[in-house]
Amino acid sequence: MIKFFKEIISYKNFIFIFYLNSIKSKFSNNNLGYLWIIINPLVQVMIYALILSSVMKIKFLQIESEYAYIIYLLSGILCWTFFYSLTINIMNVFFKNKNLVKKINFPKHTLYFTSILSSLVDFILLLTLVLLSFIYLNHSINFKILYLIPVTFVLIIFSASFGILISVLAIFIKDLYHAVPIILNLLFWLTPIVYPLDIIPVNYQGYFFMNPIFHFVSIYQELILYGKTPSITLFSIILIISLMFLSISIALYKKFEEVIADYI
Amino acid sequence: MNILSVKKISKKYIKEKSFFKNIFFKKKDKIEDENVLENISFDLKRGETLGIIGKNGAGKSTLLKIISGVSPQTEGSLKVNGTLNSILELGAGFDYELDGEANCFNYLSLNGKNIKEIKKVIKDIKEFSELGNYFYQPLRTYSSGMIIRLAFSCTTVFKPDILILDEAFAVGDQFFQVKSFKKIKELKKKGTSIIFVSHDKSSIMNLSDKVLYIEKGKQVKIGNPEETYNLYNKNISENTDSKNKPEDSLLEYGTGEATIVSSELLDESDNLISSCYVGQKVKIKTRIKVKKPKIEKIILGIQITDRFGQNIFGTNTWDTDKIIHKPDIDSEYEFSIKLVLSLGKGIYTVSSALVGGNTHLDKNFCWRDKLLTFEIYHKKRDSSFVGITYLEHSIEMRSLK
Repeated sequence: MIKFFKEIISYKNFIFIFYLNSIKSKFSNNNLGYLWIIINPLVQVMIYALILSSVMKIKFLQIESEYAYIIYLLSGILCWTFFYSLTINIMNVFFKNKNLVKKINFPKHTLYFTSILSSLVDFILLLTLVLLSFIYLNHSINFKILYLIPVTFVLIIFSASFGILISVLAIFIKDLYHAVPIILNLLFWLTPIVYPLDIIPVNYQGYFFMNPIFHFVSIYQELILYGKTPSITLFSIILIISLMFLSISIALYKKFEEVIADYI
Repeated sequence: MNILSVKKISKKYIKEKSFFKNIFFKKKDKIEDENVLENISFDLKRGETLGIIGKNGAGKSTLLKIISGVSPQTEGSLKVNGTLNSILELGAGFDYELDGEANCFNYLSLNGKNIKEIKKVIKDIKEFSELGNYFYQPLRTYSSGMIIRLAFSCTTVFKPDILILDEAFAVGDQFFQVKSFKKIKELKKKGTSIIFVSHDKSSIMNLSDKVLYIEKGKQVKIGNPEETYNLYNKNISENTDSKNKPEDSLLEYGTGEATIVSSELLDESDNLISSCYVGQKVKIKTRIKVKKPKIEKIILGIQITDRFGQNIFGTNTWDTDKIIHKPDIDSEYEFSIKLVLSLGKGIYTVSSALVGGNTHLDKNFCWRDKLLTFEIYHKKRDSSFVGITYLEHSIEMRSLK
């Protein structure tokens, strides 16, 4: 475990350079170039804000603002998008960089960190856009928004653990590359993001609490929409669960690290 | 001290499903495995060069992958004392959307270098690779020669302790090959140990201190370059011989009134050979059999082609008036064509034909494509030249004053 992180530190140059170059490789040959980095989250925000909010007319009793639903929606989307992009990026990382993994000897988990870096930058861009649109909608945000930082940190641990787990299993069970995005899509609609939890009958709500991503999403929603401080108990529980999940994933990765190049 | 020691390395590829099951369920699946490598052992000293030879699929690349640490061995031990760089495949580790410079940054940072160190050498890489402005173009616009130039420049710029080069390395053009040979020798002098795979006899002879010959994953011989290469050559020619029987060949056509029974390449003392040096005197001995009666005349033609299919030399027995007139059925004849092979380095094939007239368009009894294969190598470093043929020459020099 210590070696796992030590190697990351000694390869920090690679992680950084590789990330910058991957952006370059993705965008530098397009006409709009780096603008594409912004366009994607911008369109996403607009779709959810404009289209969904005019279709779904849901009132939030606690909040007067007519834009309450948009804010609710965007805060959930923000959290979900980060979870989704991080999981998928990490899951695909060996397959996408086959040429590197199969031919060059280096600690392969450095690639996980380039994925985290790339998802994190996308997330910060999206977050900035969302916060800007809140100012436009006259939704006040106070310093409590800083609680997002530790919560997001735990979210990274959780999503990365999930991604690492799948990335190793998918080497042997290639179907996962196709199955996981579909499963995550289902999970999206089983998480109260587009709709509030209240519309679910009470005796079914229990099932929603079993969904770990629900807790992250609800912390985001409550922080951003109501400015509510997340409860310490809930935070510690998700932190402990995420850390346990991470150690399981790393152990699995360590077990198969050597043979990844043979089977990818 | 040994910079690299390989002890009894074996490699099995296990099907991924069985591999996975065995780890998780402890239930031993019946493993359908294949020994790709078996019991390979050797040591390498500082500054020593090892050439690896063997046919396609012998396990050479797998061995290099294991030494590079990309793929683990199933059994045996491997000890590497120092830094190791390798070119395992054309364009390995490169992103084709990125330009040459960015790829250098990626590659060198993978070797643990920081931005400052890379910036320092980036100019050297650009110069050595001779890419000019292509250095700032995406790799997808490169030719394979350019990619190998970039890869070679990147891998050698920091003088690794061990350098591993797979066959892909031979892609560069003549100029770059000479340049990289020079660089390899320079690295060698400075203490870099080199392991390389080649099918080219001259590179094997010129560069290596010892040669490892692998066949079907087994170590056949390791030792003196000359002896090892000759053993390899002998085994290869024995194999190609059996292929040369007409029944096996698909590249045969004609009326079948007369057929070519066998064709052999012999040196002056009648030994079977498959490679010769520039200017060697050889004999191509061809036996033919007449299958049908009432043939007017039979003429034998041969044609030597290089690996690009270019016709290098052709002649027939019409021109030299060695024509078989009205042969009896079932009679056999033997032609012996003496040649001086003043050809450039490379691999050549010989095709033969039996015809009834001056060209094979007249009456084609039997045409056998690529009946023989041979390789030309440079005997001595100082007799080397460039081009497709060797011209007898002498050079005089005098000072004008």
